[in-house]
Amino acid sequence: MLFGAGKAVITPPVGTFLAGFGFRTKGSEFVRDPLEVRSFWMDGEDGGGPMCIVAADLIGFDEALDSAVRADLVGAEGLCPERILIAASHTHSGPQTCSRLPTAGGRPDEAYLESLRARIRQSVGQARADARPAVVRLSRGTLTGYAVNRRLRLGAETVMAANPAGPRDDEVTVVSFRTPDGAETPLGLLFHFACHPTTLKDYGIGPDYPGAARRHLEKTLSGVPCAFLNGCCGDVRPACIRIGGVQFRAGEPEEAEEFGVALAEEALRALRGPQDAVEPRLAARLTRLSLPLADGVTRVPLAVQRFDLGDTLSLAAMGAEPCAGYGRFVKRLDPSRALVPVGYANGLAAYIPMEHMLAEGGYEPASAAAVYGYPAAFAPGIERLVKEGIASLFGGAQPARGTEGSVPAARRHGPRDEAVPDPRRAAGNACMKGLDPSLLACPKTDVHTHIGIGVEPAEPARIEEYIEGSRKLGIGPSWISRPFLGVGREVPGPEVLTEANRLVAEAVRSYPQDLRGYLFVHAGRLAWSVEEMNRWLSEPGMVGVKLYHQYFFDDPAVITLVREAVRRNAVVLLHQGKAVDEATRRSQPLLSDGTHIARLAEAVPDAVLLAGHIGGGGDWEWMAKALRDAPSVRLDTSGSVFDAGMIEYAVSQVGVERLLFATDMSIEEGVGKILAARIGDAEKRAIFHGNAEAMLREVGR
Amino acid sequence: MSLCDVNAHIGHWPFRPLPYVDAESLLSEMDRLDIERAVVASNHGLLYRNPQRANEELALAVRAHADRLVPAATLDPLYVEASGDLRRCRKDLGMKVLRLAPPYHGCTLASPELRSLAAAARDLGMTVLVPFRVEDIRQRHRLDVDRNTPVEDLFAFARAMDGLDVVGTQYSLTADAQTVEALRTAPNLRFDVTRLHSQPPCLQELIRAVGAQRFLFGTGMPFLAPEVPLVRLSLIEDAASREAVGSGNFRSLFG
Repeated sequence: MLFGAGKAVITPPVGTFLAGFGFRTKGSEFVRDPLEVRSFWMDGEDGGGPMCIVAADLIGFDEALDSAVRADLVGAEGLCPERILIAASHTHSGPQTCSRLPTAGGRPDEAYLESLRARIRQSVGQARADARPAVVRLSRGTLTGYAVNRRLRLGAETVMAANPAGPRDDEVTVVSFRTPDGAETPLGLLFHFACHPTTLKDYGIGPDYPGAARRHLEKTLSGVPCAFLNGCCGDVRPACIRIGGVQFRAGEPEEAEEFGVALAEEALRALRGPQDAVEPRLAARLTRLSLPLADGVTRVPLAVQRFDLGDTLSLAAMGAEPCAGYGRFVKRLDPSRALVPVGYANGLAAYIPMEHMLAEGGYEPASAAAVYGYPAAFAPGIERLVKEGIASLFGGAQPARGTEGSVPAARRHGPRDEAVPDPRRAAGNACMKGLDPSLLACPKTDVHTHIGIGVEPAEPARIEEYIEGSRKLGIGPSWISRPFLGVGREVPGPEVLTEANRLVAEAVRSYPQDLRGYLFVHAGRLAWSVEEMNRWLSEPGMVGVKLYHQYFFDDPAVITLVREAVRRNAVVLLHQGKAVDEATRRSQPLLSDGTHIARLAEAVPDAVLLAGHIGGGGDWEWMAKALRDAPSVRLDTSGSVFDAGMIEYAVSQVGVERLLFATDMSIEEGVGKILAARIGDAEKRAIFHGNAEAMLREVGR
Repeated sequence: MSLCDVNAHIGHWPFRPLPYVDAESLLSEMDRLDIERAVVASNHGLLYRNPQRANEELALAVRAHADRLVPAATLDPLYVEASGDLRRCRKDLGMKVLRLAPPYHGCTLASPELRSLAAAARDLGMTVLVPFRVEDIRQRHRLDVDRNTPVEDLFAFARAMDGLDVVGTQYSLTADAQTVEALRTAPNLRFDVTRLHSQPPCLQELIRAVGAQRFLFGTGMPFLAPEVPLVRLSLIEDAASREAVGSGNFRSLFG
């Protein structure tokens, strides 16, 4: 493989507010040490293209900054977006670069961000130009006494205080890139340790202990570029403890220096000791998990990345502040390869607590939610979702015994039958220049789809296969219903219809993170429909009712039924289309189009109506125009039709806020048509996810 | 990874506005998507009485971009001098591909005239493209055609035209046993990935069943959103298959 390194100084001007703590009341007063970035460029012979690591002395890269830097590097260097790892040390003595943290350092300064992006581009360009043949080696050391767990249980409370018995990771991991001739001095060095860089809390700009470590390493190694990667240290910080107690205190500059030098010396010791040769093989896969908050509405996107440096060595990066238990999990996930857990990389979404912390309370699972601007803490199930998401990147590998927590034996959402990881799985998925990885992985709520028609069986394996397929593209939850597709008004008896609704409710109960449900209702069976609504709509996860083509939607029977749905806070999803072909006319003689729905909206103005599938094969221009002046009607984008210009035209007619992402089982088409639309990224995200949340709020669910 | 697209078009279309109609705009879009080369057919050529006029226009339009655009002739098998036009397309205009769209020409894939033209194409070393449709007939303009070219007809055609390389475009295949068996009995038939069933996702299953060499990347530009087949391609699990579908099979067919 080829390896090259570049660097740049990214120190902001004195006076810049420093990010990370909420108690600072003024801007920085001096530069203790410059902030810097190190960029490593790697290129293999496997045809997958080059890869790059950017490691910066910053609090983090929020989603917008991460996307911007990634786009810069794609544009300037031709890198594939998911083959870029953008990591921050998480120093609390650097400028604000995360818009989610205004109470801990104010808003990012746009001019600084522009300058930062230019410096990163410059450093990566240097790294590319510097590329030369290299081999990879892995070594490890241990550093104790400098980092400590900061969650201490006192009675029923959890406080931020030293807990030496709590989880932390004292391992120092060193990845060295060396010339193939075996020269002692490496070409570059990655060093990894897991601890908040929060020794210092004053008004000096600086990289804290990682910067001191880097300086010592580079000086000792005669200028060899060294890059720091932080680990899972959401609940781990420097052991600056008041004498005789457990309370923390601010550290002194000398302590940050001592910590850094000790870390560097341990890295050097590891570098000179036994090393594992790693057969270079470069591959990467970046995806985004969608983690629910306890408010039942908000979801937090978490970027997770597999970054293979060789057949037996991978980085597993998370765009958040993962607690130490996740580091343990990652390291023990796959005994056949060394996995290095990297936090604060490719985003900075939130603290990611372990499951047991949700009940314990304290800063990381509870108070920090407000710091990040979220309305609630994470919902139960967070640990399983994160672990399964990470495991899926590694082919669903089972963790080794002894991991804190474990992936449940009955895996509901992760890949199955893949206990032996296949390294080829990560060879380059989603590595297409025309696909924006952040949009590809961003949260997507599918407001219209099906797993099973009528009362046909849908075994757990089939449901899980559907969920897994959806999650590959960031889709979840999926809102399902079971349609009855008889000609005209032909439907089975009420007991069959009830069974279909029961199957929907059961699936939603079984997969509460992944599925929501609509009931099938029938305007010709009003009493039965009301009974069904009363029976099922109060269950968690049920969102509304679905009407098919049994009646035109401006029929008085439908109007009466929809009024009943409104009383029960139900979204009303309407199967519709302007079909002109004979086959559809014969099979769906009472199929409504947008004009019928507009009249229904006028008759029931307080109904939250969702007109189904603009890409369902009917004339989408007709539909959008017909509903232009029906502001209470939203349109979903599902269906197998993905004509160029369809989404843009719908936006021009009804506005972005009335368009909601859906697939109606055309998953790749559903995602691709939104990605292709010539509208802004913010608009795409609203269609993918935000508008569905707004609709639920409006309907009171 | 640079891609090659077997299903692109230029030219006007009367039933709805397209995002672009000329070769330069198509190339710009290909650059955005990292598509190196594309087979290009004429949109309005399907609607000309004498499609050879459109072939001549197409050849002129792509002449300056021969390194990237592979022109596909469009011919009406029932039109006068169709086989002569085919020879001219191959020898004078340098076209290596013939597109056959029988619904637009009042015939089927079983029509003797069409079979004869396809045989002539085979003798000239050309590849035949057969689109399932241009637009979804469920939303067609009343003057547009009202039928597609069924996949069963395509399999029968390919089986009957031994030695002819056939590519079906915009067919929404599934990975069911019947399709897999049909693919096995028509080894000269390939499909593009513009439209495929995606729930359950079938491309990976089809690759497992019959091999990646049977599929080519295709976009349907400018009628369709090219990000859809890009998403499909990105989900292929192994790099070798992805490369084969993305560009390798195209290069094998068209050089």
